[in-house]
Amino acid sequence: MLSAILLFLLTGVIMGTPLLIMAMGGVVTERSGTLNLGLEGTMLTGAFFSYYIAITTGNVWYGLIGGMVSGIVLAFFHGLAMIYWNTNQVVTAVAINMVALGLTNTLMGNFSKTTSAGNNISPGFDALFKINLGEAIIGVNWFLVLAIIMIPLTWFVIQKTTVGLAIRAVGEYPTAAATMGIRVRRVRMLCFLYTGAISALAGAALTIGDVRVFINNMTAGKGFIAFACIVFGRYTALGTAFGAIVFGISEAIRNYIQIFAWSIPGGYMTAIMMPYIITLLLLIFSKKGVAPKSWAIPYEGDED
Amino acid sequence: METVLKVENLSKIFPKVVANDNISFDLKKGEIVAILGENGAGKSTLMNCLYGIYHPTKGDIYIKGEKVKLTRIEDAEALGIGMVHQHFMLVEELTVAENVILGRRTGKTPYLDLKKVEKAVKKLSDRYNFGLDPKSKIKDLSVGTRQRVEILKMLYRNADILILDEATAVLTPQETVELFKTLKNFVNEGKSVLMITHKLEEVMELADRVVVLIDGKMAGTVNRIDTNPRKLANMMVGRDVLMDFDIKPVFYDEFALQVKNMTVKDKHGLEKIKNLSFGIKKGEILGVAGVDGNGQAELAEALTGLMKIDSGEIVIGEEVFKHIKPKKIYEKGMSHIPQDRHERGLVLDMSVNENLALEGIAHIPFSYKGIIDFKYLRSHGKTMVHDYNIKCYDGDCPTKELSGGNQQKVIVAREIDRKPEIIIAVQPTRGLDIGATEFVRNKLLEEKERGAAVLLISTELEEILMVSNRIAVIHEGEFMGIIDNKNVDILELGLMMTGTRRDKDEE
Repeated sequence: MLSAILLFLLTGVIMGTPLLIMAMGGVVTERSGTLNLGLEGTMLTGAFFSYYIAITTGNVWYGLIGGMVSGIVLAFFHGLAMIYWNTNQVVTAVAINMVALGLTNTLMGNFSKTTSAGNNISPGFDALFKINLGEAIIGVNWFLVLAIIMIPLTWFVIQKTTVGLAIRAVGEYPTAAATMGIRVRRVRMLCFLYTGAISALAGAALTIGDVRVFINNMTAGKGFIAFACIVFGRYTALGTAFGAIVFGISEAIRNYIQIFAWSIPGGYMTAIMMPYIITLLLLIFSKKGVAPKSWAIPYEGDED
Repeated sequence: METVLKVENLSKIFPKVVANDNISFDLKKGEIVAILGENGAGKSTLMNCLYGIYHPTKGDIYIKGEKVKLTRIEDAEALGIGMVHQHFMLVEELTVAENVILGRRTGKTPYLDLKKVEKAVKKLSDRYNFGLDPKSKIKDLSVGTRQRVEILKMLYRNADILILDEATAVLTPQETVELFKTLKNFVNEGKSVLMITHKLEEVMELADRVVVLIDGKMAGTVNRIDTNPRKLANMMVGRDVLMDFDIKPVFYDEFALQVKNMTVKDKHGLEKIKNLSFGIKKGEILGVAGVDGNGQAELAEALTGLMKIDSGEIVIGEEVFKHIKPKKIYEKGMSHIPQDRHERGLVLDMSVNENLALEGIAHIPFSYKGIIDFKYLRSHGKTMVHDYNIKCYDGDCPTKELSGGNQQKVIVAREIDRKPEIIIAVQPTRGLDIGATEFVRNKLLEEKERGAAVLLISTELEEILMVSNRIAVIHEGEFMGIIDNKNVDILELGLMMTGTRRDKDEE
């Protein structure tokens, strides 16, 4: 029984790897007081470019770095608009996500024309070891290790360093932070770029870290779910990680249902929707009102 | 004595206004200098220039004999200038120690060594008798304690020139006494204090010298011992100011407004007003004093129908209400000068004329059968702007372009001009300068003499004392007692504000 639960948990973490990485990256930005709904876009861009660069250069590391750079570039424009020009944070994110979707679709369409079905597999990171789940075999790779390291690391940076203190302060009361010599917009922007890089890395985990192909819109809302995990996790590193793992487990449940053809009410549709339903339920029943005080409020101060 | 700070011919010109025009003064070691002026006199601009937030257009600043250029806050801090802001610059979710170390490192690495900071904070706190616990979160601290954290923040950064911006605005009388003690300690240690204020008593009690600003210009520098409050007020306003109001006794016997056993709960179900009972007679001003956040807002909102009453009743004239709607309030002749003029009192994007007509708009003569009479709206606006001396270029100008004082005049004009029976005034002079304050207080007194019952809720004790017939002190939703203004002991009021109940009420 114990090993079954352990296995269940492990599958949850494995299934949730990209989500976990992205949520860990995202929580930093939210903590600094900026609403980042562009996770989906940076993830998708990261997924595409890491795949594209890996396949064209034949080097998986180039792919990884290229993917992260693409995430930073997209986040840069997103952050520039929101943090420096105080544009509407929701609308800007919608635009960024649409750009990412359109861009990757178009580039992928062009790229597909040059490749044949057989040779569109990119190089990827090999699994460190594999877990046999009866009919499904899931590989454990470096991304998972990274995801797990990021949990305590993110917590440590936010809670135990002066950098984290600055991040928390600009998220709560940016004007006060400014009077203590902290450059509010710079802190927020750096957080934002970091999140862009990390969510692109999470995107890379989907392509070069897993299936080694790129499929249009393959992130399928994971960026928004990562955001939901952060809200559910009350904007803390550990809570967010918990949320991401719960979501991973619910994805695992879905897969079990599909693999073993368990019969549940609603059948296939319920199974597909399971993770989303669980997310929704978590959000409904999670405690509210814990966002940083200046969350999603642009900083109006005129220094920096 | 050594001069630690010297300002020479400083001017700060913004695109539309000259905020500081040729200001010169100096501050010596161990001295307290007050910068006295009305709102808009240029005090804040001057301080911001000294703190590196603004850059002077002209003129020089010397610190400890050296000419300096302050381009950022850090520059000012490095030179030993520390600022205690009127609105505390403290992150409520963080602890005292975290707020103190914010923006600095504790060692060579970014690792946050909180233990080290906590120790240092404790030491400083003990030295100045601040009684601070470095580990407590700001949100759990009282206003007075928060201010001590603000000061300690600056001391931790080795400030020896302390700038205080309207430091007593949020303090109880006891806390003010404590602050003054602290400041006197500082200067005895050889530090210097520059205090920005518009309160004359503060200047008289604390300052060695006073720099008076008027419309961005120097009205003069005087030694405290050579002046008195009346002279200072004259300098500050540029004319004679009414310092003492004549509070006439109450001539009527009937109650205009009575509250009986009223309880009000907020949306979390917490009791904000607890079983409160009182009455106000016609022609009486009842002042409600108290520290902000003790139920004042809820009391006003319940009386004006903006918040639901959970139990108890309100009696207006003879009519009893278990709950009341804002529209009914208007019909019953009750006026409301709200605490937050931007949120509750005005539609800032609408014109002055429109704001003046806001409440009566559904009635003749403003409208007939739902059609607005714009011609009347304009002429009404014009009369009001003239009568209430509202400074705006045109009644059609958007209200947001008016200064705070003039915005408040718009509300006062609208609320008072219809000759209300009852006036609920909450912080009616908050943020106003002496001139506008005098105007508003005078209007309230005029209305009272006309026979209106006035409930004046204010955190400024001075204001309450100036105009009220009786004074109630509110603490955590209850009245700690009601005192006749003739037998007031300020220290007793202060005790009541912090929760000491007075044994017997006076009628």
